[in-house]
Amino acid sequence: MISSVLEDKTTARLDDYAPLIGRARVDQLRLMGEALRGRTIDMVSAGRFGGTDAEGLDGMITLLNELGIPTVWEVLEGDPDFVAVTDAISQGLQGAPCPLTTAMRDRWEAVTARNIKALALEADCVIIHDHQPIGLIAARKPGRQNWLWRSHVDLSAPDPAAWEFIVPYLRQYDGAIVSAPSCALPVSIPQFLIPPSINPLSDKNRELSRGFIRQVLHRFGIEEGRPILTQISRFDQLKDPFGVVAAYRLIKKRHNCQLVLAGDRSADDPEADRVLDQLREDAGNDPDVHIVELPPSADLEINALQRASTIILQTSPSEGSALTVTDALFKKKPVVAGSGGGIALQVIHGVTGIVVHSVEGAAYQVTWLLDHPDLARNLGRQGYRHACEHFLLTRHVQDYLVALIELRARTAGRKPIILKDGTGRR
Amino acid sequence: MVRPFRFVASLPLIRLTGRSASNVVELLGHLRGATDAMLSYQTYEYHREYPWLGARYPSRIAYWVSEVLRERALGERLAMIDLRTTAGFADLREQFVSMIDAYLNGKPTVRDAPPGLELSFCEAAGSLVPTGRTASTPDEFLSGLEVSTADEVFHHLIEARWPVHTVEHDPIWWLEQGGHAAMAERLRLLQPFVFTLEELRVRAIGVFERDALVARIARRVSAYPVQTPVKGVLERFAFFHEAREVVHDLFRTRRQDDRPAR
Repeated sequence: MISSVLEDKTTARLDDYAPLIGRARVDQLRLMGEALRGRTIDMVSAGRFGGTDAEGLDGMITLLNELGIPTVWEVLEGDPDFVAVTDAISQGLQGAPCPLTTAMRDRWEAVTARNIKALALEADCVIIHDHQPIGLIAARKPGRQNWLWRSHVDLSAPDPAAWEFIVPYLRQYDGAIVSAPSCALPVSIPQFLIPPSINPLSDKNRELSRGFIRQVLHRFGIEEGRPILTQISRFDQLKDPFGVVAAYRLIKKRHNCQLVLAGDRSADDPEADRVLDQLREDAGNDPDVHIVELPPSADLEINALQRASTIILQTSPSEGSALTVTDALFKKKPVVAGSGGGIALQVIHGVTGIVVHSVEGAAYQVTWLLDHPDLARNLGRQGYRHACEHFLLTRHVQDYLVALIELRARTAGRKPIILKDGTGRR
Repeated sequence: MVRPFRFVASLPLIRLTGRSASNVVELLGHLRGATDAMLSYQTYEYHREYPWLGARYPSRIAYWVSEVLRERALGERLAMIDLRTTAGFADLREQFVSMIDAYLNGKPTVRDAPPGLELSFCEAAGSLVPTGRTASTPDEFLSGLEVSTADEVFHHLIEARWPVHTVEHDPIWWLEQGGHAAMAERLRLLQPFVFTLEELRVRAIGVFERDALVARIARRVSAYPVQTPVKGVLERFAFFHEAREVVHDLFRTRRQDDRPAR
């Protein structure tokens, strides 16, 4: 396998980030770690691979432990029936109809109860990622622990049944963390905006050799030397792959470009099967449309495809974290994207990328960028600066530490150190 | 004697309220009831997040009205609300509200923001983290400023000047207390909202470097007798910027001091 010959940097240490973020910021993180030294954290998610919650957790946990904040990562144990329930809820939280039968609820409760017994959940602060482990809140030890719920998807327009299912659990949390202001939850618990982040030193983002990139292109039959338009996302209707194909058809009238739709595809995913079948039918006999199915761990291949691309697209109208956009910005690629969820924080129209609202808009803007490569490069440079300043793992760690400081103050009955509402001394 | 200046980093934590505006009418409604922390999010935190935009629009509100709603006339007016001269958040709120109120008077229709681009009303909170670095002299402050993070630059050169914050974190106050009024005044003249944080740091360093340079030249010049031809002395300082003017001023002052009193 191609990936195995290259160096694994997922366990990078804090000093390794200094060339990107500066020595002063590394020292600042160490100071914050000292302030919280001894506090323990438990991160809980539904899996170790794939999905926004798993991305970056490895690197984050390494850094937190290095800062003197013992952090563990526990993974929910489930079964296919439980996965079917959580998939239905996931679709429902993002707006699709979500009928939950009694059998589905019973399955949920049984698996949740089993995990409450099996998992440690002992840390001072437990951070639950997404909805699958949300029921574990029953294990909370009041007065001794803080529990935070971290949402990685856009919950601005959920199906009522799905929302009503998770709200009773959500109300018990000390706070929630969301990725964008538009993802604010209609519950009365403190909610903090912590945008997601990428690990700049991971396989998905580190520098690659030209030779490796060429190998990956050759493996998937993609030509160098012609414009490559790429969208990286799972094969799901919500990611607007058909809109991207339609835009490509319009762009093709002006530029002899190629389209790459690449994404991971886990087993037993009927939605992905349906979308892939439809995409292949849409692509027809066009040799310049490349539909690339990748396993969840194919980070190096995704990295190579993005680095080889001329323009990156992410036109989904609804997005949670949109980390594929962050990956693209970090690689200095011009990005043409929709405006949903986490994209709005990253792509500032005309400055760090281009925001579009229609197929025709995407086609027009991509064509314009292909016609003006200097301006496209400028967008890429600005996007890179923005990503480095606000969307790297080290900033994410800092935000978690500030949130822990706030929670610790609240738990102790002290007013948190709030600067911005006129309560400072003069 | 003034206490040493302590470098502190201001680390943000943004709290969501669920409030958002789709058009100018809704914007006005939210502004009327906006907390100080919400206004801080629209102004100070916006500048920290998008420093290169801050040079064109001093607030998230001005940017959103101009670029998202395309209500350009109102956006231009809102861009003139100058945070540096605002007396506090109450004053800032009143300026925004009265300007938008006047704009809407008689305006029959307003535009809506495209979906996903509504203006959110979050609250800015956060923590101050002492860095452990201190400065007892302007030279030491210069050294500290050179290695500060953007969060420290943001707090000391922008946030700390806001009337509600701790005065000891304001380097202008610290310089004035230490008897460096001229340097304090030059720092005060820096316009914080038209530069990125890095540009602001460079300009602030320039303020301190200029004074350090003058002090250094003055020490060297004091070794020369007053009658020394200035031209010869200048050649030794040819590599300093503004050396001619500085040296002339110094010699002029010394000659005046040496003139017998009438």
